[in-house]
Amino acid sequence: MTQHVSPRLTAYVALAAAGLLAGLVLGRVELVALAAPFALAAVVAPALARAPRLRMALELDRDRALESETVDATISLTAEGAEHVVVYLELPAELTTSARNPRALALAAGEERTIELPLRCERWGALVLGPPIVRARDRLGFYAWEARLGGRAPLRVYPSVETLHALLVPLETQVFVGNQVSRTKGDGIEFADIRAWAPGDRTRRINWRATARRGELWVNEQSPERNTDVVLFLDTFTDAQLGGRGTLDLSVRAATSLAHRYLQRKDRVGLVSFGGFLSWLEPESGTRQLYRIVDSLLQMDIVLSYAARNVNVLPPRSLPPKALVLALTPLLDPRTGPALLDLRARGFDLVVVEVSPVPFVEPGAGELEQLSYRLWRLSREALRARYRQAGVPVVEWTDGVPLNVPLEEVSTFRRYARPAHA
Amino acid sequence: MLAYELGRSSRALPATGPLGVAGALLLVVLLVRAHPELVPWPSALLGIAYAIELVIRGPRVDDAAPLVAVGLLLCGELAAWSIDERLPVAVEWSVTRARAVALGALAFGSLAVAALVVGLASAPAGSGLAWTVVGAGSAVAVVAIAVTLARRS
Repeated sequence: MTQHVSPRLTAYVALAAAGLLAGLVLGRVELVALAAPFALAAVVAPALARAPRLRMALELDRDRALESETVDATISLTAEGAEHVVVYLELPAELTTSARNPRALALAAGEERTIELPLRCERWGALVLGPPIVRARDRLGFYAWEARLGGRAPLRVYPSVETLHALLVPLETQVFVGNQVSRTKGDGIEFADIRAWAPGDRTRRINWRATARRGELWVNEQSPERNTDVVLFLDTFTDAQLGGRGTLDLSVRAATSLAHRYLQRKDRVGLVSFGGFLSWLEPESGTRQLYRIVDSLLQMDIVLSYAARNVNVLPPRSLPPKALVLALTPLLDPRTGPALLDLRARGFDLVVVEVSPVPFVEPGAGELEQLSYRLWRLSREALRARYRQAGVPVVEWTDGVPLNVPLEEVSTFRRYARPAHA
Repeated sequence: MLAYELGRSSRALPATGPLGVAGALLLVVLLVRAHPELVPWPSALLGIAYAIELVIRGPRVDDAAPLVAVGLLLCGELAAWSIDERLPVAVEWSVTRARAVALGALAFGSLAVAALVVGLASAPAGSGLAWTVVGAGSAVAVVAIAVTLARRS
């Protein structure tokens, strides 16, 4: 433990010395009496000062929670002869507590105390709590001992999942069984078409009505239910922030909700973080993949980099053929645009959800600032037009608007627009 | 404290008044601005003003000196406590009680020691170079003990 001595004690020693000296020089006993209390404090305080022996433990009732949930932190403290102990658990910005923190308490020798702190998870993140700071003092505050005790407690706060009524349907399906009706014909449940009987067709597939009408055997054809590959492509080059919220925060929330829903549909979902720090997860299905994706999203951060990046640096397996690539980007970094158009040129089914940075940017008060703001917005409009020319649906998603809205916009776009082959 | 010092002698007022007022103002400033490093200075200024008043007033021993001494100590300690209370720390009642008891004990102990000093001085023990040397040695010893204990801790 680090020991601190109050400057007050040094000053009291000096006052006592000055009083005694003055009393001696001037021959006045009152000045000696004046120095006596300070001399007594300066002698008694160090003589009684003992560094306390403290043991502390920090525990959380669980290590995973969702946003807006409450996690109980318990600090157990045992001390031997600590008359004044201040315990403080430093909380990251993502957590708040309604309990009193820091707290000063007195402990008798061998007494054990527990401090309960209900922690409310305000925002997602991979957090590490502790070790708590403990500061013990003597009764008059002349001596203090400070240390960090009790170890660390990790806590993962997952973003809350938004309810999505409908998902984007990829243009192509994969070969494994899933919930998406394929455009191809084969064994399945959904009726697709009828055709003339061919040797090898099973009897139960004969469409008797069509056969009776045409006088020859006709059979039903079905569309098989297949899974799809979805790659969530997050642009982490840059971020626009205002008041604790930002585009990366929105992107992570959207990616979590999308991954959750697609994985529920038995699709395979992958993740690409395209930015200063490049990372990826190959598409997989199942709950385990959901946790891998969310854990990866929690670590996501903006890393400033001037390195040129393109999709060639990504391993081919992170972007499987016929995958739906859902790009979540604020369209702020000039390196993102060419990479996305490159993906489109390679034949990927690309959808760009523009996480709008506009609510996070102040237009400014001056005329020049207003003009530059309008120019900036025009340049963004021009960028969107470039994507649309390449047949890529681009939808703007603003903070506060449900994610269903841009997804429905994309579905409408796809209903009326034919995919362009670059 | 200030009123006591200013009220005792009108002759010393021009010298002690400004010092005493400066000490009181300093106390107000440190309490308002919460500067713990300034805590001993009001006591020091008021103590100097008291010493000047003693010199101007003459050789008669002030019987209230122990009370003045304890008052100066309490002035510093209560100011330090007041500043400590401003920290956003939830303090349990037992902690407050323990500090109050400790401060009370220190004040009573100080009063006893100061009264003993004043009482011993008025006792007919004689005078001379030997007593002066013993007094000086005692003063040095007290300060040395305080410094040694503080350094050892």
